[in-house]
Amino acid sequence: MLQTMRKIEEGLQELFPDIDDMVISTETQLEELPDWDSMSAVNLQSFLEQAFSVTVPQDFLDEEKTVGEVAAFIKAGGS
Amino acid sequence: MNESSILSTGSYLPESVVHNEELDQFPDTSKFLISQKTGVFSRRMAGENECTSDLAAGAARNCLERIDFPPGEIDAIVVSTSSPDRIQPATATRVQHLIGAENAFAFDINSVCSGSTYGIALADSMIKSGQCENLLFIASEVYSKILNQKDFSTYPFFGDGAGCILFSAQKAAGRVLSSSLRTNGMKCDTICVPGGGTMMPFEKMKDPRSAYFKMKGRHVFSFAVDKGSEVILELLQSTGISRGEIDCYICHQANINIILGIAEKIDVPPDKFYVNLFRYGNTASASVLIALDDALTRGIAGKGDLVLTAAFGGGLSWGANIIEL
Repeated sequence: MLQTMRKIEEGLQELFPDIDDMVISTETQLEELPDWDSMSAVNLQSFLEQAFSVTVPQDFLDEEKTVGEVAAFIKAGGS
Repeated sequence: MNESSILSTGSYLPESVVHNEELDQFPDTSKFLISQKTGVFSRRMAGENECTSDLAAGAARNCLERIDFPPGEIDAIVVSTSSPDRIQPATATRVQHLIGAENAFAFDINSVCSGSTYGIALADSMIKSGQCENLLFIASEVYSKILNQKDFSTYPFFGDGAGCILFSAQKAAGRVLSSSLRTNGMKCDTICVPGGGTMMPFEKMKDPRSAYFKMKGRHVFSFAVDKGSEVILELLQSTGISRGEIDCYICHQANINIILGIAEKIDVPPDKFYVNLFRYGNTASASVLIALDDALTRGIAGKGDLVLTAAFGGGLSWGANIIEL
């Protein structure tokens, strides 16, 4: 799980450069990410699918999801 | 003060049409979001060897050929672009060479997506001041080459294209009645290309993707609706022209939801707004000039009509013009 979280965090840093010093934890909600919207959700979806070779449903990454929930979903092998 | 007239308009869109469904770098299940969120169904894309000056020259030729105007009689070329051929020299210099306007001086302006309204105001003033007699104002953009092709929050919005207006001290029907320009430099980071300039030179770039265009989408949306409607109402008030007297509103073709938001805010029916972003996407500073030329050639706007143009974008900057055709 820790390794998955670390990889997701790296991806978020890359996709949302304005994160800067923001501390990303399992409790961080996606809507807290700077510039989070439905379009940037697609960028995260593409990143997760490529980085973890899983299928992420388009409606999975809603704004209330936490990074921990995303990591757990990936760990469980996606949809 | 000299008179300033509009003699002709023109535009150039690259041949290649790219529909949303063809953007294979994005998940198929998400492509419906592009038209839903922006109104864009397709865009034109410059060829591998086509650059901003090539598109600008295409629009200029189209504009001049319509009235058989000799390029040698042009004495000034102003190109608005936020996606120039190179950091230097000005893109306008290659345009001068390409169209054979050997008697013209040439330079660029960059007010990002507001460049059309700034350029119209500048061109009109240069003619009125006697600085030049025949000025070609061109707005040309090739955003497909400054965007990250994998970024869903920017890439699908944009398209490439160029538009042109020939201003002259010769007496003719078309003229600019008034302009209003505004800037808020405190928000200069909201829309930008962070790397590649003197603030972040290439050797200081941690990631080469810093050279791609970036914008804070949510902030930009509310800014565009608020300031776009504000500047339109300000300009109408200062000229004493009523909303109903405007025959056609042409806003920067950024996003259909921004245009609908402005229409609602200024209480003007949406069908008074000319929209072609469905076909061409957001062509940055070129969008207003392309839409103006499109509206004229399709007969949606014509001689004697009052057209209000408005644009908003990086800077943050915004502006509007009232043109009598």
